[in-house]
Amino acid sequence: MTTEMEKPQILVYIEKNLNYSPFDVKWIPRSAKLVSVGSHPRGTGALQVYEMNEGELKMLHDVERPKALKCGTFGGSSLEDRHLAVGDFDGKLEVIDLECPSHPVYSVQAHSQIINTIDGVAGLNIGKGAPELATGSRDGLVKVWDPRQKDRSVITIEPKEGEQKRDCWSLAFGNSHSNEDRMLCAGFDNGDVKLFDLRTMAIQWETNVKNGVCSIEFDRKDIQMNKLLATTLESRFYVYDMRTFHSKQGYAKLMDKGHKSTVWCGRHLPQNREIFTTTGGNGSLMLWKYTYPAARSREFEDGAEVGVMGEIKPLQNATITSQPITNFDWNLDKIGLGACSGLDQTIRIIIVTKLNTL
Amino acid sequence: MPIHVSEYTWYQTAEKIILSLDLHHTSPKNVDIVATSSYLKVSFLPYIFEGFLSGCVDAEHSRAKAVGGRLEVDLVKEVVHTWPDVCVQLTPEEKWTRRQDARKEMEEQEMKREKKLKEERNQRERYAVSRQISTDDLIRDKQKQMIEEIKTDFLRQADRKNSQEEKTEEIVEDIKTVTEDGRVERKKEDELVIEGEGIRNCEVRGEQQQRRRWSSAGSEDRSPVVEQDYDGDGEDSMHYSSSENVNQLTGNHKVENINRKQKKIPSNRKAADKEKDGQGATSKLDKTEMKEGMRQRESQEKKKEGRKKKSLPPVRQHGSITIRHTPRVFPTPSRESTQEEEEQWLSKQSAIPSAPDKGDNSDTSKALEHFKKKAVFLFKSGDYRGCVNACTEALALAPMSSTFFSNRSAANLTLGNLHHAVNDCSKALELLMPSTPANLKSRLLSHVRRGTAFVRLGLVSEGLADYEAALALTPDDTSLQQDVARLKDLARGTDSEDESDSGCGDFPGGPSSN
Repeated sequence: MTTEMEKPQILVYIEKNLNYSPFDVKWIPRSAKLVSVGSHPRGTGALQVYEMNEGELKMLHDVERPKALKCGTFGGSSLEDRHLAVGDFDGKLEVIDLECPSHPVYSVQAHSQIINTIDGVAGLNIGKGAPELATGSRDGLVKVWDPRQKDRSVITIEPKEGEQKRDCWSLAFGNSHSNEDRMLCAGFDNGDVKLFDLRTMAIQWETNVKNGVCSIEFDRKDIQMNKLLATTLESRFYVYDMRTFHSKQGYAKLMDKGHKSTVWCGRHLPQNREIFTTTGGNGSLMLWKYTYPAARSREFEDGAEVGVMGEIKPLQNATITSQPITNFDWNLDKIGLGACSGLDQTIRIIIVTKLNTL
Repeated sequence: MPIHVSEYTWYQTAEKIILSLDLHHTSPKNVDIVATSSYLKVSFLPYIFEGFLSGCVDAEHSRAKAVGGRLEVDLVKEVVHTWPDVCVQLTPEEKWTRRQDARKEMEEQEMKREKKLKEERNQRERYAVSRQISTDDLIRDKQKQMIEEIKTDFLRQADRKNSQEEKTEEIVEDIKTVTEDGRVERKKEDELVIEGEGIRNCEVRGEQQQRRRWSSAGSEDRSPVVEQDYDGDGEDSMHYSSSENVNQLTGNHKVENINRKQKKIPSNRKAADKEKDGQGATSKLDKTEMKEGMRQRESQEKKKEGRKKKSLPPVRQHGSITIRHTPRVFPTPSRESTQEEEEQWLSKQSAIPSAPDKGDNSDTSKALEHFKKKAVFLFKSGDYRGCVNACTEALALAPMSSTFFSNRSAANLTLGNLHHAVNDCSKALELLMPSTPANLKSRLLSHVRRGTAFVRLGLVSEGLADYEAALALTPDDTSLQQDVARLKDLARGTDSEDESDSGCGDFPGGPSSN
């Protein structure tokens, strides 16, 4: 029993039942508030701001948007503004000021179909360079937007004319350690993972993991890319070491399984990039820790360097509901505080203890 | 045949009847006594004593004792009264009925005893289970308590740390101390306030310190003192990752900080004001603070904007990247568990066109076979018109057969009916969906033929597209590669002559019998 209690514990602190389906939860940076975006049963968008107060979630704002919202991020706006960028079911990208949610700061018809995923970089003082947003949609396109440029995307990533289009399910920015460098990684429903170098406007690397890629994340956006976590269907997830690139072998990878169901979301702890959590289709949360190997690269047969993977250890496994947990967000300010949303129309505040001892 | 014992002695007290029998040297072990309320039978083979009692006795409490070669039976009377005699003399029928009654009584007694035992057993079990449940409940309650304690501890930690920081007012000093080793270790722990509306001043300061303190170093023993740089360019911390930013902040720190503080309060107060359950008494204060904040903000804004514009890089030049996906026939997401099924389905699909008439009557299939052979023969012998006709007739029988479309297109191409050839190729390709390795060859041929037709028609770009598709199917075909290269040049217009070069080369353009 004592060894059990020494491990980090995953506890549900607050559980809030909603009358709509939340598709994304995000902490408002530098506050104890969070935003949940989703879809009302009548197809309109739900945008609610909650605040943690005395063991309860109190609703501060409730806004109804014309169309159901799928995803949101604060990553593309500055720390003072903290505008929320949302993508909706119609393919519209909007940047909303939570003070005045009915009049978006920026609005564009980004895609022709639902925006599945959105990510932002260089906002919130994370990463260098111009703040940008990236959206990925069911129409197979990935577009990068700069809120200063109206109506047109800065970068468009699409298949050639006549080629097959696959749904883009997940996006992640990374390698944003200087003004010019930036990487964007996209995961598609046929298992393709493609890494784009936005400085050279080229595909840096692509691979196929055979299962649709539900979520992708670099362990840090603002450093030279270190690790990439891709979670997929069929209860698998992959960790790639992004420090060593081999021209034929690509990046070294490590595969592990968990949750016995789709691994919906994988998120690294902002305060410790070796720890990440994965959420599963069986309503469970698992906490993992990555340890580096003795040598991060070794010589391959052809003389070039190839990466060496370390080990992943599961630290804790907690089943908190019976329905899939689709999204998770760590709080940037308090270590171990997280929020998650699930298909059971609830959002939960999760506490993970003892993370500062790891 | 047992021997009835009839001699016995007896005497009675107020409550008991004592009967004494001679055991005739049988050991007490072999004595079997049956007693009901009005019947007594003692059998010690080969002897047997049967007594039909004149009154009622309590068989439960009666006892028997073997002493000195004699058996003493103490029968407890039910009702206290003197019995004239122990046993009564009865007729054989009466005896028989009495015996039956006695037997029934005995059975009843047995059943009662069994029931009692069962009940006792049940009770014992129930008791055990209830005890188990109560202990489990206790354990669970203890666990819950522990968890609640953990939760409150988790949140309380923040409060404690925060109050510490309020005391340390010197912002700049703190930032400097962060870079020193000693202080860092002291303030390693979590420190954010989880509270309601009140954005405390120190929160902002706190976070800045905090952030710089924590590096995202992967070291096991959380020693953020030495911020490990994995890329060696001096930036590995979470937020303020560049030395540029640090300078900016230390330089304009106080001003910016106040600015931020003031800015935040009004923005959050606005949110508070929007709430129905307002903050009441504090709102007035807030409004004055707000005004102050606004004024300060305006003055700072211009400065800030200038700074902002300088610090942000310009908007990117427009760019686009083309990608190519791993081909997948099905529109559904790919899953490893369904891989096998999908492949089986695909192989079935490709098998169907080659044997379309297996289900039909053999006449049609024979006719089709005949047509196929005829078409090939006619083509080979140079009668292209005849080949076309044969294929057309065959298609009348089997309109969904890609082979005949394919063959007819070959014939049309040779004849020079380029438009017909294109149509036939397109039809054939349609029927050859979904694409599998089995119908690769057919698709290849169709693409090449259609490409040729397009080029001959002058639609070089379409032709090129088809040739490139063909090349994609068989990337190792050198003649195809050459053709594609030639066509590309043609499309670019560098090769002005020889448009009619079909580019078929030595590629088999004849009809196929697959």
